[in-house]
Amino acid sequence: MSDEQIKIAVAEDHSIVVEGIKTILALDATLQYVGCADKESDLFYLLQLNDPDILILDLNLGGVNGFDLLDKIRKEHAKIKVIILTMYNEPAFVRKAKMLGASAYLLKNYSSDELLDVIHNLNTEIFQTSKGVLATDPASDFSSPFSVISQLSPKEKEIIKHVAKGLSSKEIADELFISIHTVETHRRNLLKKLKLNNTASLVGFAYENKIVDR
Amino acid sequence: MKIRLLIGSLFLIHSYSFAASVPDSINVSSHKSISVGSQMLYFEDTTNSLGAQEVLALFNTNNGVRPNSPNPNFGITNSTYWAYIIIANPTSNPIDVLVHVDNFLMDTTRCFEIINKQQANLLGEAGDYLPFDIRPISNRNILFPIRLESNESKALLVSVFKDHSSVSLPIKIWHRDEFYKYEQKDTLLYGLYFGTMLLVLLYSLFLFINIRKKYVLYYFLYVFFLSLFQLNHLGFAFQYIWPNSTFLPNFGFWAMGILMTVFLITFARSFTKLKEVSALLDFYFKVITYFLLAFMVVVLLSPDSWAKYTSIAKTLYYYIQMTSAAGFILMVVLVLRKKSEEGKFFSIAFSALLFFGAIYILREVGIVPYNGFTQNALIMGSLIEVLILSLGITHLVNIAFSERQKMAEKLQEQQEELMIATIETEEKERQRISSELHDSIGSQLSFLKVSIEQSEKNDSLMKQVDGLAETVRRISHEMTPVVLEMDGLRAAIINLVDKLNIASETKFNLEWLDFPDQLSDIQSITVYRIVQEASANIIKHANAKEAFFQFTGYDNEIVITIEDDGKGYASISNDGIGLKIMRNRVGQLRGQIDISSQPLSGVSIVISFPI
Repeated sequence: MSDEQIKIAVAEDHSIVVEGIKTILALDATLQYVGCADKESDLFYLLQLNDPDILILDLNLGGVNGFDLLDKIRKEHAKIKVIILTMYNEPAFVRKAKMLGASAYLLKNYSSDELLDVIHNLNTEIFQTSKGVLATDPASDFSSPFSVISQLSPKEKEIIKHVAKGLSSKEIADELFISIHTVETHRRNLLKKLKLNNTASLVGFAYENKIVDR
Repeated sequence: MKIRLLIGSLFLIHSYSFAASVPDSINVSSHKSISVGSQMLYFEDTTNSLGAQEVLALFNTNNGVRPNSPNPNFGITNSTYWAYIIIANPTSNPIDVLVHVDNFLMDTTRCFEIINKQQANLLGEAGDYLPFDIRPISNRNILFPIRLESNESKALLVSVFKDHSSVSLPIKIWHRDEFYKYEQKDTLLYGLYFGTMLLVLLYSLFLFINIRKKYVLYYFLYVFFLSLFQLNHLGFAFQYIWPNSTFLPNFGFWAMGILMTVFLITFARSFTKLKEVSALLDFYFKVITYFLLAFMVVVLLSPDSWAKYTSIAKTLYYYIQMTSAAGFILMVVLVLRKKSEEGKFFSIAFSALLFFGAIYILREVGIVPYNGFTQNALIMGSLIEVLILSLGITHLVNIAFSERQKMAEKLQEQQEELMIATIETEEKERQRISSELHDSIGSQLSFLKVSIEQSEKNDSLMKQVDGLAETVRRISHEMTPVVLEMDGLRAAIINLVDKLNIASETKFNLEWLDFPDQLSDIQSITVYRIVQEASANIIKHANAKEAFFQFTGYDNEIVITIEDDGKGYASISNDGIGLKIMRNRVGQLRGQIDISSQPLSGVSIVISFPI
């Protein structure tokens, strides 16, 4: 065995998946499969013993939360690079894996080329994902820091306009064909969102921000 | 007769007497009412066949008897009694007086004026065997008007007859105006009495409609027949309800008395749970009830034979009534010993009724004198009894109501628990299937793909496997939101919105305002499922450019608003089932959901529930 070989361990509790990985790794002489663990205790023993360069980690190892494992591995074995291999195509998981220091996020319907590619490119600091992974920034466009008005939903804008005109909740409800409960709820939400105390300050806000014309 | 002898030998009041030919002359100048009492002479006609003229002759030949009591009571008898009275007006003004026979239950009463000690002229007749219309004065009381000119005196003969009943001769002389003043007070009292009864009737009917307890119905019927009995007994029914029937006032006395007693017994048995207290006494009352009912049916079906055996029947009736009274005394004692709440009310109420009832019966059989107190004994007794029993029933009903409420609350709690358990089971099952799909099928598919890659390099086959794996993953995810499980509601919602933004044309916006992180599992899954349902609706039907999700937390509740700018109504009406599921889920958490929409201006959903 050459020192040039990259040592790869697998944490996976489905033997069929492990078989698949082994088959692919065997295609590349520079890669060395050093073993597999199907539960947490075995995993750390395996890491201790074989000191792999790369760990292919399933997010669902025998019921253990994979992110907890990832966190622990990154803390205790900082130089082991971790490739997440999972069925879960969830943006939240992709972000979390990246945040906890994983190097790549692969879906289980990867192709062999993809896996080999990722393995060989792990040296870079780029977080790699396989084809089809839903990676995106968290949905937070709604609360733009630049304008309070842009934080308001269309219904809220309509309601604030009617409040500024001096209509009561009942009148607004009739006008907009919604229930009084809906109007009241939106008004309550508005006060909370805009950190205002009462209807008067809400009306003031509407004029200051030119939601209604003077 | 037998009864009269029996009672008479025990407690005789009217006995010793002496003969005279002319009664005392009664001065009517005073404005107070005068009880004729011992100032009259009376004569008992046991044959019931003598005319006024013959009786007058008997009085003239010293056959009259002077009573020793101001209110002579002859007990139960079948004779006609004649009273001989002289009234005088010593003043220089004319006086209108009323001769008042203060017992309106008389079968027949007649009043004659005696001219020159020889001639008896009929002035008028009244009684409940005679139509009401022939009375000289239209009043439930038996009244004969007489005008005394200045310094005039008149001699009168008054006859009373009541078939096999207690008879007394409570004759009073009134100034006409004084009588109407007295009657006004009387009427006010009776008005109060019947007014109270009416209120109790309405109240018990209301209670019965609401709680459907049998004893309340029996109570209602008891008070109903008691009121009818009293209306009849006091002459109101004869005056106002059936003035031309001579049958009803008499038959009514028995029928209503029987029905009243029957329902009183039935009520008492049910109210005190007598069967649990004493099965024997319960049976005893049952037998009495059947006796009374049979008695009534016989009377109703054959009035003729009833008339024939009146004496036996009445005696039998009084015996049955007394037997039931004895049973009631025993019942009060037994029920009191059980120390139950309803027992206390019952005992006090019945002691009152029995006390006054005893006075009434003693007067009926002639043991105690006939006066205002004994005359109204049943009124007072029944009033006190009915009021206390109403309190007792109210008490029981209160208990029943609060028990029912507790039951309802418990049921609600159980239903909620069941609902939560159902949701949990459902989620667990989804989880199981989903992880099965995920782990087993997903893993095998991934291996299959590697195998195909290695052996055949068949792109089309590989694509199919890819598609299959994607489907499995999607189904699995829809079944159980793995992010929710691992990272909580907020992460799961963000994740859901991320995916929606990647996969759909609609731009989903998300905002959090003090939304609590710690919700129960059941709340989290419900919120998630609702949002999932709502967003599926938006994607499938709304054709919206933008959608807005807001999650707001308050002290005691959370509020979720979902808006889109899509097609509006079309997008909600098309998917009735999805909405129904949403409403169900909100209902399960005691929440409120408002969905509103106008065509072309999107759908707005506001959901709130307590935390």
